[in-house]
Amino acid sequence: MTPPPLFSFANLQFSYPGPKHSRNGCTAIDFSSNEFHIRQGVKTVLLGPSGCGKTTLLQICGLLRQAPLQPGQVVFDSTCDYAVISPQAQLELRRNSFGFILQTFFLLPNFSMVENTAMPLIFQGMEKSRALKHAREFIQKSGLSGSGENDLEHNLDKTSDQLSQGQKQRVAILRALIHDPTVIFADEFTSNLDGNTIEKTFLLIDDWQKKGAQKGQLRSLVLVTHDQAVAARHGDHFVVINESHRLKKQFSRQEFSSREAVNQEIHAAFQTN
Amino acid sequence: MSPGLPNLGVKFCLWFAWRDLTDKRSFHFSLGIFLSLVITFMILILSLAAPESMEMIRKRHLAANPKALSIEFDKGPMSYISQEEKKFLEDSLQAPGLGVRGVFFYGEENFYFPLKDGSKEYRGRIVQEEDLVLQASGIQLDPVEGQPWIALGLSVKKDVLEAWNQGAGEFKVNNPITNMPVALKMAGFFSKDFDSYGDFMISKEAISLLKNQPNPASRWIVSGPLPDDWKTKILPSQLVDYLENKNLRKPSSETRTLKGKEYKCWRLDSQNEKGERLKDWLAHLNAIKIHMDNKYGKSMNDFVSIVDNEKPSAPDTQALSRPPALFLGVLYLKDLDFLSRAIQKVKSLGFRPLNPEAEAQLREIHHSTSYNRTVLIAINIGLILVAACSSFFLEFIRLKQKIAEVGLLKSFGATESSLLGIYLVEALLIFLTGLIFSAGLSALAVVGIRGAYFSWMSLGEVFDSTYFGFLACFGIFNLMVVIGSTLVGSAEARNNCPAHSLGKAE
Repeated sequence: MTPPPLFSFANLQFSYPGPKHSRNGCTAIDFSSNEFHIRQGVKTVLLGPSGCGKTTLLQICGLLRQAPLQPGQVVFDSTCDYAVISPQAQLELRRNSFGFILQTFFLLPNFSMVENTAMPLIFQGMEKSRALKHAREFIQKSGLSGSGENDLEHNLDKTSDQLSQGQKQRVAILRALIHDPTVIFADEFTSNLDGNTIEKTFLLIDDWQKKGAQKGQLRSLVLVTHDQAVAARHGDHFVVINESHRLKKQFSRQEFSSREAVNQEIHAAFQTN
Repeated sequence: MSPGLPNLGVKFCLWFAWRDLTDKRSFHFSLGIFLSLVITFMILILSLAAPESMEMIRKRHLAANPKALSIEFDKGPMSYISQEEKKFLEDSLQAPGLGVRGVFFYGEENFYFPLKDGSKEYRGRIVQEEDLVLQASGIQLDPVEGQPWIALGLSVKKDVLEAWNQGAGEFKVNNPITNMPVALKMAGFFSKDFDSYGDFMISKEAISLLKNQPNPASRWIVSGPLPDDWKTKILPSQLVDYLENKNLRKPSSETRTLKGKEYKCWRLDSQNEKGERLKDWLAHLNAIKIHMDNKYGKSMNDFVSIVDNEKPSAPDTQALSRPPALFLGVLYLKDLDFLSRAIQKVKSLGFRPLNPEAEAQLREIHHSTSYNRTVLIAINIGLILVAACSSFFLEFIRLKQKIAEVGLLKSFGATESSLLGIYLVEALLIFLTGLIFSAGLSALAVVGIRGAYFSWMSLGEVFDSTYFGFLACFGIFNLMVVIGSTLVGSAEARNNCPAHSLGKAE
């Protein structure tokens, strides 16, 4: 049975506002005459060359970027049309339903690892002490803690500037998961992680999805990455965008597993204007 | 659940603000704003408080010190107050409701000693019946017309000014003994510059008479035209030596012109060899005498005669005294509020208030401080504007650096109001710590200044800290600056979408 759509796109087009200077005024996404879905409960991977619009698409979906949309261009969960969504509903979605793993971590400086992790819970309204306690437990049980002196458990009270890039990345991952969102938007979050940690991260995401399933939720990951190996290993649905910001191709997991064919398509996407 | 400030809670905002402010990336900005506020407050407190405080202390001093709050009065130019009048005044002015602490009369006991030949000895000098002897009012002169000198006491400045008939070139005064008016010719230059405390002038005639007619109460002698060689005639070489080489300050001379004639005036400074300041002429003469005695023997006694006791030189002579010739009354008041009433009372009793100026004095103090205050206020306004601009832009830049955090917090679902709340709490924290710190430092400084400088004039009076209420205005101004800069500085990040803020930080 096909899962229901998480995001439905129809003729989505987006240009950065303002005159043509740097990114301003340039087209970022051009899905004209394209209609497609990102499904719930799956791990969708956005692929394409740098600057093709992957991150912009992720930001629009995650309501991090305001886009002047026409009705029906982006619809969340079949009912929530982003063209008419209220500011309050946007806040509610970002606070309760979405989790973000951003490209450059964006940990709050001068806040400890635990505090950074607990921040989404606090903004959900949980009392600070409870949120911190929950965050400590979450880090310990996550499996991302690592081992030895550099593990997260031994550095819970260190501030972000005292952490390594890998530790920061793991905190950013845990922060995105701690409040049990229904969608996680992850933007090239594997670049600072070793293979073992990447595996553990996806185990954690799998676990998060399973827990959602137990609650009757279809939890989804929207992942932007250039790492095709990671994509192939963990992705369920693949969206390829070409340099012209157009939708080049969608692949299923099975199709993507056929590496040669996929490579050709992706290569073509990277080359085609 | 709404993510607004009330639900985040003030406690959370304080926690977040403190962490954010102490972040090393923005700490120097926070410190800059903090120091800017501290310096502004301290400059304001110290510079504005100083003149105002002195004025306030002076007012309190006037109210608390009975000698400061007084009315001098007399009967008129060169008129003396009789003993009957004195008693009448004492009775009248002690009436309830006038707020009088006491009445005091200035005069001098006129001791003189009758000699066997019918003359009198007064202060070591034989005084004939027809001689005019004026006492501590400072006038001592021969009534013979043309007598070319006059010695004036500081306290009769006002009398002399009013009694001086410029056209006739004379003073009209009352003889305190005969109570008859006497016209006194003045051959010398009449100086209005009476208030150079401790200085005096000596004329040729005056210095020659000085040895026989000392008047310790007098501080001024005004000279007439002097010949070029007057110094050598008046001042023996030993005295010149003393003045020019031993005295810590040399005598100075100046020439003044009055009615086409030149008058040479000399000033001697009142300081002895030890550098001690001499309070009056008598002390100065004593210093000269001691010096001359020590260095040149008794010769100085022929020149300067110091009379500090009242003993008859003739044997078997009994001292006689007559009631003192009172020339000045002083009314001490309990409070400044009684001043006007007391002045009216003195006038109604037929006397002349000489210094109804306690209020005028306050006005004068106020006038003198108002200029300084105006300049200080102008400087302070400039400083406030500079500090305000620096605070504003430091806060503005600090918040610009926070743009990524704002984007991140928005991705957590933070509202604009909750973000504004967090950054306003940060601004208030800086403001309040700046205010408290500067107030504490300023209080210490004021206490120190008071101890070192104000105490001599305040006589230990309590420093009124309520005066510093004016700082509230500047506090509010600075508060508006930090809030304004927070609103402006955070506006872009608050209003932009999270991705825009995050993107700007990348």
